[in-house]
Amino acid sequence: MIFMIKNKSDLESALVELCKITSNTLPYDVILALKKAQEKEDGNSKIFLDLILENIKIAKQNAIPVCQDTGPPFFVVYYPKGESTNELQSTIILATEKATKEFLRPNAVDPISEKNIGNMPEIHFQEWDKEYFQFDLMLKGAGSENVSCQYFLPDSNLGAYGDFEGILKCALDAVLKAQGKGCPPGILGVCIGGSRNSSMLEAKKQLFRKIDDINPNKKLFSLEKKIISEANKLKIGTAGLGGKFTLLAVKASALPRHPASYFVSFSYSCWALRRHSLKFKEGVIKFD
Amino acid sequence: MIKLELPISNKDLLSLRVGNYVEVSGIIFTLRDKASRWLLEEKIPEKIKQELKNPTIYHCGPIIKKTKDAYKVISAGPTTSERMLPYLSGLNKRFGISLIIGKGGFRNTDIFKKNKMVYLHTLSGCGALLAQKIVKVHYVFKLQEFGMPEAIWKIEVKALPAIVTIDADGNNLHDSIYKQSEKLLKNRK
Repeated sequence: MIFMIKNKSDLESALVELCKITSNTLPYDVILALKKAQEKEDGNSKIFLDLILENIKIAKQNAIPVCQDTGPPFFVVYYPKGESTNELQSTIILATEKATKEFLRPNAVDPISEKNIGNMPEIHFQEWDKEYFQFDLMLKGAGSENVSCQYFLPDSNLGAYGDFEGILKCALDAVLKAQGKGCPPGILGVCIGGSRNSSMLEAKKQLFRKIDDINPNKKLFSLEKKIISEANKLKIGTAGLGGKFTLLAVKASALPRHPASYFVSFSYSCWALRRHSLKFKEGVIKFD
Repeated sequence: MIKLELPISNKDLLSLRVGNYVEVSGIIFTLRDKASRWLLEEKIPEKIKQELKNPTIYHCGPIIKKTKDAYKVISAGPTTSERMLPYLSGLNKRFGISLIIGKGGFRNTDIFKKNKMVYLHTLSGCGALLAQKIVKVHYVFKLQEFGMPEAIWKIEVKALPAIVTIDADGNNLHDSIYKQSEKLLKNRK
């Protein structure tokens, strides 16, 4: 979909549209992975996957949110040299406010007053060498966010050391504990290393990767495959009611770590991985 | 498939078994974090007391739009029930809540067995499909104070699909799936 826009105020409307596309439709690669799982599944899980696919269809046809939990909007914004992030931030906040009035669920509670104040987007800015803007948006519900977690290696309870076997043990423990609460079949974003906060953020950013992309790092690629195959042996299944598919994909990355710190972080996404992006260059907007 | 018409008789409730597919029709109330706690701690307005007599509860924070003359449900799937664990017994004692719809269930089978309660798991993440099963919004309590997701919505459903995952006899699919996966993990080579 390509739109022509005249000025930056139109960008606000385009961002509202991005919120709408993201809450109402799943990316093609995610739908494809769900269809593949549905074909191979049987029993309760097959019935549930059928209904999940029907739900995706209903949401698209009626232009309504796939899931009522439209999350706090999570933006990663790439911008060309010389642009103001303050301006971009204001535009995103205004767009989110508008989207909340129209269709997003208000998902921000002020812990001081305990009042629901609408929505507050989380925005991460990154300058890049390209000449256009890219807004990546993810709407992630609390069910899957609540089962996302971080481990510190070595972990004596798990018998896990600071190596790839240790990371695998942590991943399987995370999937075991998540059970049906994170709405499987899930997609697991992984980050090895980093600090407490950079690690968790990088794990979540991994969920922007397409399901069928190939990790250029061979060691990480084989770790991803290993985690999927071992996790699916746990038979937790769709919605946690038993079945062959507990994870649809694993996406892993690594960051340098302090010699004394070995964090491994997992960002769990439900099957309804809602992520889309918007590219903006010289008056032209393109959604993906 | 069992058609469940609400209010459900005690006999019908006790006859539900883990694995039964059901379609629920009738009046239910959405209830989650804030409202669950509020119902147990605060002095409850008389209207709510009158309304909440052996109600069926739906763990759900819906998206609902106010149109000119009515509320319209846009998307309304289940939320994770486990967060409501601290309130289960109390709500059963105070309001006679014994039928709960949600997702993810509980591993605490004893509460269900002791209080003769039943849990129905409905379609996780399927807010669009489940909204089609809600035919009417009757009333809303505490909308201003708790906000849209956490208010208590009195709604009417027709043929809402679910599966019995915890029954009053102490069978618990969530707990057995957990134990099975834990065992498989322990025996991993």
